[in-house]
Amino acid sequence: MKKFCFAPYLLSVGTLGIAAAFGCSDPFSFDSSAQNSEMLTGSLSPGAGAEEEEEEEICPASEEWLPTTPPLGLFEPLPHPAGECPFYRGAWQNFLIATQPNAQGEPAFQFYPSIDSMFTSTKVKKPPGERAWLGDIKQAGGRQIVIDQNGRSLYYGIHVNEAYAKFMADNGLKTLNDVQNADPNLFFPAGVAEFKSAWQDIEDEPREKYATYIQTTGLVPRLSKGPNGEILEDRNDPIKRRMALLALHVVYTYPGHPEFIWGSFEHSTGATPGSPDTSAKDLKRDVAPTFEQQNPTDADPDNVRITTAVSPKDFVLYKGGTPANRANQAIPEQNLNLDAATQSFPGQQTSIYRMFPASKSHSIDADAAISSLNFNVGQLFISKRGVLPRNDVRGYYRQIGAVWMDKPDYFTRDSPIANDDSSPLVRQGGDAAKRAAALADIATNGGDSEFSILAGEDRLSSTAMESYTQGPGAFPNCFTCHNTQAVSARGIPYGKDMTSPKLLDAKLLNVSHILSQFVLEETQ
Amino acid sequence: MNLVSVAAPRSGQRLAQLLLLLLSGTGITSGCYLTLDTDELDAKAAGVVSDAGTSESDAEDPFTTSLDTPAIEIEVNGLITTTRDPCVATTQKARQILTTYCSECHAPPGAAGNFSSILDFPTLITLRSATAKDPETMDPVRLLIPGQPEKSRLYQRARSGEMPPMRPPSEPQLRRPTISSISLLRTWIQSCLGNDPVSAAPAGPQ
Repeated sequence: MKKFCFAPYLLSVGTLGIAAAFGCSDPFSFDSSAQNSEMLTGSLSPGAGAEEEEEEEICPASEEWLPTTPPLGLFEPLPHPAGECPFYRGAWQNFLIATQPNAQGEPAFQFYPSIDSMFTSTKVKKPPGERAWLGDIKQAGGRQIVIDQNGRSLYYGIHVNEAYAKFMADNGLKTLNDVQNADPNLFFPAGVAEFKSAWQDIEDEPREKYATYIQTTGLVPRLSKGPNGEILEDRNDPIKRRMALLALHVVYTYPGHPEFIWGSFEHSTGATPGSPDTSAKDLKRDVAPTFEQQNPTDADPDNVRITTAVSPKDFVLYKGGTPANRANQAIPEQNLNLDAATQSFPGQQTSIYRMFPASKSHSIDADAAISSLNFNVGQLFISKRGVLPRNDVRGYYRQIGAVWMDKPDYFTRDSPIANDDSSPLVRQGGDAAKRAAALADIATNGGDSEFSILAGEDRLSSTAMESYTQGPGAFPNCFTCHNTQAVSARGIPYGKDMTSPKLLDAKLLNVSHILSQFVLEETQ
Repeated sequence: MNLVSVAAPRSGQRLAQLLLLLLSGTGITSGCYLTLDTDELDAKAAGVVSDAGTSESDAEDPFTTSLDTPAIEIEVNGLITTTRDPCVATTQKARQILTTYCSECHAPPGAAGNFSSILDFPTLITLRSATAKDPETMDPVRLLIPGQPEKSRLYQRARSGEMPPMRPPSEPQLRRPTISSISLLRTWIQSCLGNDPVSAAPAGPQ
C-alpha cells in the first residue's frame, strides 16, 4: 500500500528510541492513558485524519537475518494507514528460519512437528522414516491435482514450529475427540507458525537444473487407482524421491493477530547473484508465469475469453504457449492415467498461471513494500555471500505477498473474514447506501480500502497450491477457506459445501488447516 | 526485560518522559513517521553491492539497499512514535487495552473490589486475589505472573469473559475486550514482564 503521512505523526517520531537512552528498556516506563478508541469501540470511521502526502513504502531487510536467522520479535504492528512492512518482514523472517539449511541442504521445517507427530491417531501409521511425510496431492477446495511438465504430481507437506506444537500439547489437543471438542473460543497465541510446502519430484531431472532450489530426499506416498478411477495415496508404503521446493506458505501470528498472517513464497531465478529482483510480480519466477496484462474482469472472471498464450516459455507448471483459457484447468481424476511402475502420468500435464499479477483485486502493480523487501533480501544474500554455506539457496525465493486482518478487533468466531456483505465494515449498521458505497470502495481500492477488513494481497494464491481456485468466483484468498466458520470434508467452510460431512464446528482455531486436515485424515 | 528497570522509580520515568517530549519533533524526525538514517544506509548499500561484485548498472532497480531493521511504530495519545524494543510496543498496547476495558473501575479514583492498581504494573505483579485460591496450593492466586498468562488471574478473567462483569439488562453493558486484545495481553504477560520478583524473593518465615 501507499504510506500516508499524518500531521500529528510528525511530532514525536523517535521519541521512544531516545527513551532507551533514559533507561526505558523498562517496558512499564511509558505511562500513557491513550486509547485506541475507534478500534476498540468498533466505531471505525474510515478516512479520519488529514492525509498530507502519499509515498511508496520502502521495506528494509535486516542485516542480522543471515547467516542464522533469529526469532521474530513479537509486537502488534499498527493497522492502516501505517505501513504494511512489518507483516511482510515477519513472513520473510519466518521463511528464512524455516528454510535454514542443514549440512545436507535440507530445510529446517522438514524436521518440524507434523500432524503425524502432534496427534494421536486411530489409524495404522508406520513410524517416521517408514511413512511418507509428503503427500495430499489433491489440493484443498476442489481436490484437484496438478501434473507438472514431466507428467508427475506435486506433493505437499504441512509442518508447524515448536511453539505451535507446544500450544496444542498445553491445551490437550491430541486426539480426534480433543480437536472436535476444543474450546471454540481458544485462539492461537503469538509466535506460532505453520508451513505448507509444495514439492516437485526431480529424481529423474538433471541436478544442475535445480541447483538453485531447496532440495531434500522426500518420502512420498505410493499412488494407485481406486475402483472409481480416483487416485489413492498410501503413506504407509512410501517411495524415496529427490524433491525440490517450489513454494511455501508461511502462516504465522503476531500479538493481536490470532487470525494468522499468510505469506506466500515461490522460487524465482535471477534473484541472486546478479541482477536483483525488483518486483513481487517479476518475470523471474519459474514455477508458473503471470498473466501480466490485467486482472480477471467481471465480464470474464475466469479468463475463458482470453485465447492468447500467457507465456511462450516453459515453466515448471506451465507448458509454453498454452492459451490462458486452456490453462488452470484440472484433468478430471478419472481421466488421469497413472503408470504405477513409474508413479507418473505419462503424456499428461496441466498448465498453471497466475491470474492476478500482483495478487491484488484492484491493481496489477505490485506493492512497493514487498518489491523493495524482496530486493533488499536479495541484496542481503549478496552481501552475506562470503559467510553463507554453498548449499544455502534461500535467496532464490521471493515473497509473492501476504494477507492479514487490518482490523483484527473484528476477529470473532463463525466469521468468514471476507470483504463482502458479511464484513462488519461493509454492513455499516444496515444502511444500504453506505453498504453499497463501502463495497464500491473495496472494488476500487481492494485491500487498501478503508472499508477492507483485510490488508495486503487480497487475491493471494500460490500457483503450486491453489492452482485452480485463483479466480474471483472461487476462493479469493487464504481466509476464504481458513477462517473461524465450521469446516467441511473438503477443507472449506461448511456453509460453502453442505453436501460434504462437517468436520469441525465453528471455532477460532479453525483458522489453521492443521486441525481440519487431522480430522479429515481420522474420519476418512 | 530486567527486574531493575521494572522496579525503577516512577518519578524518574516521568522526568525521562518529560525530557523526551521536549526533545521530540526536533531533529529526530525525517518528514514522515518512519525514521531511517538514510545516509548511513546509502553508504552501507554502496559497500554491500560493490563487495558483492555487482555493479550499480546491473541492479537497474528503483530501490536503495536497506538492511537496517526498521523501528517499531506505536501509537501514544494519538501520536505515532517508535521503539526498537518489541516489549515496549506490546506494553504500551497492553496499557491501552487495560485502560479501555478495566481502568474505569480499577484505576484511581475507581477501586471496585478494593482494587485500583490495574495500571500500576509493578504493584500488579505483587498482588493476589482476595477471593480465588490456587486449587493445588490453596494460596490466593496472583493477578499477574510474569511468563505465566494462563495462571494470571487478570488474564483468566479477561479470557473467560468474567471481566468486565455483565451488568443488569436494564443498564448499559461494559465494553468487552476483543479476542485480538486478549491475544496481546497474553503476549505481554508471557514475554514482557521481566523476571518474576515474587518468585525471586527469598523465602519468608516457615
